[in-house]
Formats: sequence, structure tokens, C-alpha cells
Amino acid sequence: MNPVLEVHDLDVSFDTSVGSLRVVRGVSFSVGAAETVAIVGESGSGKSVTALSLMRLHDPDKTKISGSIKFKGTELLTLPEARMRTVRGNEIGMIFQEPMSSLNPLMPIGDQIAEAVLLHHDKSRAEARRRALDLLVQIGIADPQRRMREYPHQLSGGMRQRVMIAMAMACDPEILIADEPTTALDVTVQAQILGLMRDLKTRTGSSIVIITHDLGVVAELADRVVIMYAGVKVEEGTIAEIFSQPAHPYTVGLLGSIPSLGCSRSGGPLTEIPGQVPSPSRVAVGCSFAARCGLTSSICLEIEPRLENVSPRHGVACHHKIRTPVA
Amino acid sequence: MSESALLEVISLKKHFPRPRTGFGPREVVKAVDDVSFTVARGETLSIVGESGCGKSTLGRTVLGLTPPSAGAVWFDGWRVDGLAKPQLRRIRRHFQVIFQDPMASLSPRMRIGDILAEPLINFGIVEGRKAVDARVGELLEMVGLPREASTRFAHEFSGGQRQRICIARALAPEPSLIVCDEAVSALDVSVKAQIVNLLASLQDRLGLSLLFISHDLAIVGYLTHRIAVMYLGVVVEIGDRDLVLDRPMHPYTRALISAVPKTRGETSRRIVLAGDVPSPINPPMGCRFHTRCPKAFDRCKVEEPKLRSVGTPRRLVACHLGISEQHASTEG
Repeated sequence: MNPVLEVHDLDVSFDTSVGSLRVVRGVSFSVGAAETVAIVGESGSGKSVTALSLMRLHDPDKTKISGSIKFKGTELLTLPEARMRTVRGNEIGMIFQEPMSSLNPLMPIGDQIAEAVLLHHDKSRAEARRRALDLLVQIGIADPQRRMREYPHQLSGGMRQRVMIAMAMACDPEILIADEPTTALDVTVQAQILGLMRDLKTRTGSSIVIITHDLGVVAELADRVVIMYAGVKVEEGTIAEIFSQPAHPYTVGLLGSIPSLGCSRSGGPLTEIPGQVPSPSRVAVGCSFAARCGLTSSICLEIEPRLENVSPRHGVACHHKIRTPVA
Repeated sequence: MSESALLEVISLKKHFPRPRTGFGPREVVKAVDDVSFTVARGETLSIVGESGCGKSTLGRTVLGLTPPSAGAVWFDGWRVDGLAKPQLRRIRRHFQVIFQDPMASLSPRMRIGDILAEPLINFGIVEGRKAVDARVGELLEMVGLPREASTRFAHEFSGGQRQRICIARALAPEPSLIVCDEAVSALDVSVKAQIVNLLASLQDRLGLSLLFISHDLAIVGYLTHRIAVMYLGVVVEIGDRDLVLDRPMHPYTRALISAVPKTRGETSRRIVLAGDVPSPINPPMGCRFHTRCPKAFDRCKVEEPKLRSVGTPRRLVACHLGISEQHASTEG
């Protein structure tokens, strides 16, 4: 089966006052039909930059993107802007972390959803509004007739994020890109939104790329995981492989540093990853994680490890792969 | 006041009147509405709840950063609410605070050494420049930073290091209680674990009490001895960590715990609450949680449940549901 989205050797650098910053370095991954792929990393890992690149949302004057992003065989990076506009929203939908800054505060939400439909489809206003109403029902908003006429400030954070999802789904996109969709929400509301996304996925069969720092969210939603660190993909695998047999020391540290609910101080201190996330301005020779890694040897400081497969779908970029015994 | 309690909060209320609009009665936001608890020496009490539940206002009121509308705060045998500024200033060396955003809590124009020296000098902890410098160095080492950090500015540090500086500053006047208001929430996962471990080891070494305000149940579960769960300005359940996390009784606590995404393949049935937290301006009549409670019945709509002890005096729950029903549904 051909993947819906294929990213190959993606490289993104920004021109800044202090020179060119290479924030994504040679990242490759693919997303299959109806598959959910999570891109996981901490701040500065390049995960959000990767997501924005998929939609070509960076300022073209200040950004250099190389590599290839193929959507159903079409190269997006060289697509003329006019054609790209038909892809955005129509074939690839996107939701962001902070719904309040993504919604127009002066426009009723019904009109905003209908606008997305009108932009991409040859439909009448009345048809578009019917579609908007239908979407509000689908995303579980009570009293949708009334909500259609309300403005974003009249909605709660969770409801706004539902509206964002409705807008992204308005044109039945093949892929939904969700950049930290639940990070700004309370846990009980997060649970609602995750449930909604799972529900939509099974109903519409669209693929999802979810960008997050929260491994709990990943475990809830994703089929496959891409772990990023300092602009590089360090590990990739299925949910089961990443959670039960992590092979990169960073992934192992990341999993260890989140206490599970039953965990208390009597069980000893949490696993720490010493040091800090490196700044992209500091270009490391060798492995970018070497400075924080417990397994660093001389080779790590000299040669950047390449991604190697430890199983057919599980790849790791590390000179000292950890073999977790299967429990 | 009980023997061992360092901090005792009694029926604390903090109401914010809203600007008058039109003719109706003036609206009041009841951010904290009749909250009582104690924190023993060397103990961590965590206040958990979602945004708008009043947990941060509670912390600020306890610290005397904002005067309470009613109720009392006792600290080490002293009544500290309503104290005049000079007295409050003197007693404040004993309770310090760490906020969520370290960059906003550190002066960008002061060197770290001066930031840490300020409380030492203000409270007269040590005398003389040499002694102050030596103590600043000790404080930096205590939080895992090099002594040389004292000559640098806050912007030269990363988020996690800045939070270490805030912890060092809070420790400077040798307090017995530190209020941590979402102190690790803004940090990256890998750095969060470092700071949590640091807080735990400092507590063990110095016998500190912590009032740990957070929405992150996994972190709370790791760090805390006792937990108080807040919803719309009131405490709905309070008790020892193991009891509250392993056998939660209030339907809200149960929903909150089940909503935490699991990473270790534990399977549990999730209780998904409908709707959002209602506005604290006009909290629902009766039990404040009844509009979202999967188990609400008629009585919940009219009568507000009071906290009562269940099983042990160390665990209080505010719910009309009979204990037997709660047990049955926990096990079922």
C-alpha cells in the first residue's frame, strides 16, 4: 500500500540575525492511509517546524527547506503556491495548540466553518451552513443551532478546540495534522478531545499526524511514533516497540522521566536526563544527544549515528542501541 | 491547632466582587469557598484540580499575597492572615514560594548572586559581604548549579536552570514551608524529572513542608504525601496519597484520575466527563459537581455535601453517595 504522505530527508533552516539556524536535519518518515503517526519531542526538537513544513506555512523569504514531501505522489515543496492553497485545508487539514489565536474573534463560528467549505467546494452559502451545522453535531456540541451564531469568546477552551477540529475536517481531508492539540486543555477536557479524534479517525478513515511532547497522548492515539531530538529523528517504531523496547537512550530516559500514576518516592528517584536540550545554534559534531547520554563513547563525539533498523519497522540512530529484554 | 501541624488553614474564603453591571445584585467570583486543611512538618500536601478550581488563589491567599475574605491561616502557632505589612514581612521568611514561570520571577537586570543575596540581607540571615557570598555559593550548590553562576544573569540560563535559581532563592531565608505553584508545569519532560527529584531530596534533607499546587496528577502522585482535590473553589476529597490515588471516592477524583493518559499499558475504564467546568461566578446549586457527575441524583441538586470522614479521620470526602455504593462502583 502506498503511503499517503512521504517525507524524505527534510531539512529546514531559518535565516536569523545570528546566522542560519538548521532546526530540522534530514528527517524522513511516512504516513500510511488511516494511520496515526505521532512526532514526539521536547521544545527545540524541531517537531512543530516539521509539521508547519508539511503545510508549507513558513515564511518563504526567511526559510530554506530542502528534501522532499510527497502527498499521494505529488511533490509539495515545488508545487506552485496557487495549487498549494487547494491542498491546504482541502486535502490536508491542520489544528493548532491554541484555538483562541487560530479563530477569528469577530466572526460567528458557524460562518467560520462554512467559510472553509465555501473556499474549497462549489457550494451555495446555505449548503455550506448546513455542512457546518452537521459538523458541529458530529463533534458533539450541544445546541448546535445556537452555537453557530456564537463568537469564539463565548465558548470554553475545549469547545473552541472542537470547533477547530470541525473546521479542519470540513472538507474531509486525507490527512489531519494536529500540533499539540490537547496541550492547553485540562485533563478531563483532553480526554474528551482525544476520544473525539479517535472517533473521527475510525469514522472518516483519515490519516493523522500528531505533534506532541506528551507520551501519554501518544499511547492513547498513535499507531506509530517518531522521536525527535535537536532536529533529528532518533528513533521510530510502532507504539508497542517504542513503549516496551525503546532502543535509543533518549527514548529510554524520556519514558523513565514520566512517573506513572502508581509511582511514588519510595520507589526511588525518577530517571533523569541530565543537562538541557541543546540550542539549535550550537551545531554538535557527532551525536547530538552525546552531551546528555550515559552511554557516550569516543565514536559518539565524532560520527553522527545513522538510523538503523533493529526490526522491520523499528529504527534507531545510536551507536549503542539498548536491547531491552522483553518482559 | 493540632500538635504537628505547621500550617493550618481554617474555613478560608476568597471572593472577588465583579464590577457592577446594570441593576442586579453584584456578581461575586467565589474562587476559594470555605477550604480547610493542615500541612504537617516535613510533609507534602498537593492541591490538584483543573484550571479555574481556585488552587492558585488558595496558594496566594495562604501566602498573604492577597487578603482572605473570611477564615484564618495559622502558621507555626501564629495567625498570619490579616497581619500588617511589617509583621507579615518578618514572618514571611518562614514560608516561601516558587512560581510556574521562572523568567517572570527573576529580575533580568540583576546578577544571580545579587538575587540570592537579597533575601539573605533583607532577613538578616547572614552578616557581612563575605558570609553572604559564601552562603550564595552554598545555595547554588544545593540546587545543583556551579558557584560561578552567581556572576551571570537569568537570561543566560535554560528554563530548568532558572527554576533551580528560584528554588535557591526560596531556600535562602531557611523557610519551613515552600508553596510550589505549578513549579514544574512549564518545564520539558526530561528537565521536569530533574526538578522533581531536587525538590524531593531537598525536602528529605531539610525537613521542609511543601504545599504543591499542580494539575499534573502523575507528578503529584510521585512527590506527595497527601492530596486535596479541588473543584470550583471547594475541596471535594482530601486524604493520604495512596487512599486518594488508589481508591478515590469522590466521582470527580475518579474521573480526574481516569482521564490521565496511561503510558505503561495499564488498562482502565475511562470516565469521560461531559461538558466543561461551570463558571465560578454562579456555581451550580447543591453539589457543585452535579452538572457533570455521572452519579448525581436529586439530593445533589439541592443540598451541598459537606466534607465528612470516610473510614479513617485522615480521609474526607464531600459527596452524598453512600460509602457502600462508592465502594461497589470502585470495584465494579
